[in-house]
Amino acid sequence: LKHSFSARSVRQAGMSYLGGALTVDDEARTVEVVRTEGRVRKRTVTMARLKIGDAKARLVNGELRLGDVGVQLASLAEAEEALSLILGPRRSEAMARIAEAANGFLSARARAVSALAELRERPREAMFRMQEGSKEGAEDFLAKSESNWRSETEEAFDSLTAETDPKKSGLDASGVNKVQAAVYAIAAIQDSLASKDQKALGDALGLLSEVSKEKSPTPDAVAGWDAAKATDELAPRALAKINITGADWLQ
Amino acid sequence: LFKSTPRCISGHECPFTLFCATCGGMVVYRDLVAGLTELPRAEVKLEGTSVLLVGVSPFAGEGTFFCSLDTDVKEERTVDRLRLKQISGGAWLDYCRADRGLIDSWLRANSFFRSVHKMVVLDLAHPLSVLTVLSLPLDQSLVVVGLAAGDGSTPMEQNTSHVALEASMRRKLPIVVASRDEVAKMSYFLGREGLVTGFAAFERPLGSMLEAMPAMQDALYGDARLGVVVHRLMVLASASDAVYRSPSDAARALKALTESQGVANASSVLMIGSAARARSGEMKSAFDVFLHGMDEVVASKRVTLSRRDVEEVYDLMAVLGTDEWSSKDAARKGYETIANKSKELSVEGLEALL
Repeated sequence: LKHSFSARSVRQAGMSYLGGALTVDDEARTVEVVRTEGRVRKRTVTMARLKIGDAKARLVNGELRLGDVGVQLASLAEAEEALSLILGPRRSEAMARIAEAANGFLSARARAVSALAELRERPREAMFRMQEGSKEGAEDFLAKSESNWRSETEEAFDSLTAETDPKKSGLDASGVNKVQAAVYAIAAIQDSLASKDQKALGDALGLLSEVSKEKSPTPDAVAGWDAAKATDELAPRALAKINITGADWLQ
Repeated sequence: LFKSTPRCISGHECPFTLFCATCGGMVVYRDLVAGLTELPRAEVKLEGTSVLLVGVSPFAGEGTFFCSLDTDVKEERTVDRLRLKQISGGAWLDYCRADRGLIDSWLRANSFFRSVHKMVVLDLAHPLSVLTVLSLPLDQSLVVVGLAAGDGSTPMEQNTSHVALEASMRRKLPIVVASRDEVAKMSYFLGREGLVTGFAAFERPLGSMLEAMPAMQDALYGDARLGVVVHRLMVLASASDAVYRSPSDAARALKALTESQGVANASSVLMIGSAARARSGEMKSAFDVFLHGMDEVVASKRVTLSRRDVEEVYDLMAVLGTDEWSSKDAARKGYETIANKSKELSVEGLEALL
């Protein structure tokens, strides 16, 4: 059996348009979501998980009609949850988690790069400040700090990789690549601000502008930023504005 | 970071865009982002020499880290400055009763001990001098230069200076001693600045000692093995042929000065001379002249440094190992005056701290 639900019915249920079609296999008691246009993305979940048997979503004349479930809030919430199970996390939630992970990675990396640069440029001051209050010897302290910076950066990167994983995020390859391009561009902005490399800064801002479809600020306009500020101000804004279309998201 | 070139899914090299201008395919950022986790190695390159100043002003020293220890109404602890809270009417003993670990932990935090060579220049009459001497480790790369109180110092200063010197001897911490009175009278001719006097003039011999650190360490700790802890510093600064006729005659004058100070029976001598490179042969002869007849000397070293500012001028310095200093300490009188009034402020009071 092939069932579809209309944009109108979904809007009535208080959700944004998701599109797509459902194939309900009564015998196997599974529901499959298929996009009819573009590349195929299938999700098969059991009916039990959909709570169809509990009449939270019902088959009416061979069609699964969410709008027919009723307008009670509790039911809508249940219906929304059922859709989430089929269609993956809602875009805003997934994107928020990706942005948080990307920001975490960029911040961890910026902290590590800045600490290593300070150690290279002003070693005594850097070690003095870092070691204040510690009872460890300088060698031990340095080795431990360096190891911490590396592991924090790697852990944050692993977390970003996990959040952008298509199975978890619902992003397709193009969407994942856009997130990666944005992260790379912001890291490049941080590094070029630190090294005062105008050419690299221009390239990075251009890439970020293309990814987020935002008007690119000129290198002069960001010359006064430091790496930490670039992470705090740019990353969340740019990541939130990455132009991933609905089709990209679903496919 | 932008040294890596992105490629599209077909392998074309691309600028930093999302789509390839050649094939329209996606420009892939996966590997570039993974590369962001590769951090550079931590590089810590410190100055080869660190100098701790206690109660004296900083002086010129290329590639040298200077930090200072003093007292003030307000405590302060930065990478190059430690100010301990001033104790009203406080003497050396009051500061010694404070946390002795403060100096050690500060010197560890500012990586003082990580330099290859370390020097401590301290005014022995300063209330923190005893605490400093008690806090320093017995490290063979450490050279301590102390300015001892003399006739021109107050009894309290003399008491502090004498106890600090005793502390150094009892701990077997090698120390090079110069007299504050002699330093105050010192004058030096600098090529760019002209004549400087007092501690500003003493900065040059200190600079020469910094340059000759490996020889200083070797001489001081070699002597310490033989039980000689205190070294007397004698300086003939800015000598010239117009005054002395030759470096050898200048060496004779330095020797006469040394004998007049009662340091005739030195057991070791480190000669440091600085002159224009062309005069190094004459400096060697001058060292021979100085050492001639010093029969009790068991170890001697000679270092010639190149002086570039004024060709006609040269310096001669002698670091003489002697265990007789304490009995001839000019500060002894003032020490006893105070010690007789307050038993705590005596060498016996020091014993309790060792």
